[in-house]
Amino acid sequence: METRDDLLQPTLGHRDSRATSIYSPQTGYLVSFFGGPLAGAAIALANSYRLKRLGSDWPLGLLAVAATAGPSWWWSRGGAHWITAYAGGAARELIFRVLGLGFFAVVYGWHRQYYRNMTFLGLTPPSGWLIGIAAVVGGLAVNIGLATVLS
Amino acid sequence: MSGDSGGTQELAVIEHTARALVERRRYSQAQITVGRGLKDFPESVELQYLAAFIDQACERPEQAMQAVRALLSQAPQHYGARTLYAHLLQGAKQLAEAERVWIDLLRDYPQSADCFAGYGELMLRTLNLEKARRLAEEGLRESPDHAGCLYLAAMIDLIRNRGGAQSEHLQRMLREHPEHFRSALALVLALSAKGDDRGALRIAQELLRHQPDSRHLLTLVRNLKARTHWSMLPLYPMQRWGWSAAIAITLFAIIGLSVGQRALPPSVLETLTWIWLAYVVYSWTWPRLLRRFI
Repeated sequence: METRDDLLQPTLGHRDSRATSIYSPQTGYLVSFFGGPLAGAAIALANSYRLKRLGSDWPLGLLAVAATAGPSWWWSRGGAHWITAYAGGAARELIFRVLGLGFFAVVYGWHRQYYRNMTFLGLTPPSGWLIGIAAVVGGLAVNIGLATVLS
Repeated sequence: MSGDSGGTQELAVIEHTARALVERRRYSQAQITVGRGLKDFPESVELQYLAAFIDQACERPEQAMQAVRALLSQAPQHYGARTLYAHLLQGAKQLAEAERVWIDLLRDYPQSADCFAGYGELMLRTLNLEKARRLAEEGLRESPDHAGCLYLAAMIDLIRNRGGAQSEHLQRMLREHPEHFRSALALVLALSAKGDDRGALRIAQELLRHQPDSRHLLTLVRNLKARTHWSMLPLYPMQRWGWSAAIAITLFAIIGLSVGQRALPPSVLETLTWIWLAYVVYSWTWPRLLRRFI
């Protein structure tokens, strides 16, 4: 049970430039769409770090690895014939996008109250360009590498 | 002796007048009164505090900070000056220092609901939602109808998706402080969160008429006007259900168009693809442009 004295312990530390906002949902959405679950996880975990929640949010990273490696392995074992039958040659790309957006949906639900907090208080998110581009490039590279190794 | 008591009386009258003007938000008149008072009574701590408060209220944070620092060097335990200092530090993004001031204040005034509300707002602004909730709770324990703590608790309810009738704090805030600016502001946010942007806009416009110099309100009205503009109708799902709708629509479109490659004639598929791309571009660009136009 937290006492009043616990409540009066500093939370912001002694640094004056502590992060007070997280990367916007737009950044997470675009990065997950173009870079897949791993890229989405990079943004989600960067946000967790800023929120000092890495200790409880690390399973998001695990989920992203599973959502990338699992389908790649399944695809390499020829388990996606029926999707190819419906979606044609772009089936693999389709799965990649669907997984990316699905992963963003999970992250959005996970961090929803922080996003709403920022909206209600009109807090400006940090620029997501640099980290976003790096995450997309990294996510695509890992995905291509994985596909090459498994095939 | 009688000269001294006359001076004290005069100072008391000036301080009383200045305080009354500040309470009525008549800052330009208050500033003139305080300025005249400080000429005759430069050592008056209360007048110095009011001068700093007026500077802060008139959005002159640097002057306010300078004045409050000078005042605190003379009277380091002045309650009003310390709370003002914490607010100014928060505005200047010196958040760790602001937190230190709030904690010191709460140690000296453990029953001050004002301090719980102030520290709670700092926690909310730094996304420490759970601590903000606990601080609001403590403040309400000390003073169950405190406007600042009720506002803080109502905001936390809204953030946790318990707006309107589900938020007991919002209801209490509206019942106990119907005249309070923040009650109306919380109501605007609750209505908007529920999807009633038109209702929220009407109240926000009324608030802006009373406080035309408020930048925060101006931004709020501009955003609500953009959200209720007729050209935003195609984006209704995203406005109402946010990112959940954006994800659902995108998934529906990309899966539909992929499946359509086999099932639809190429001309139909091409048309649908262009419509989809136009919708995507519209949804990403038009709301930002509209907010600039309004």
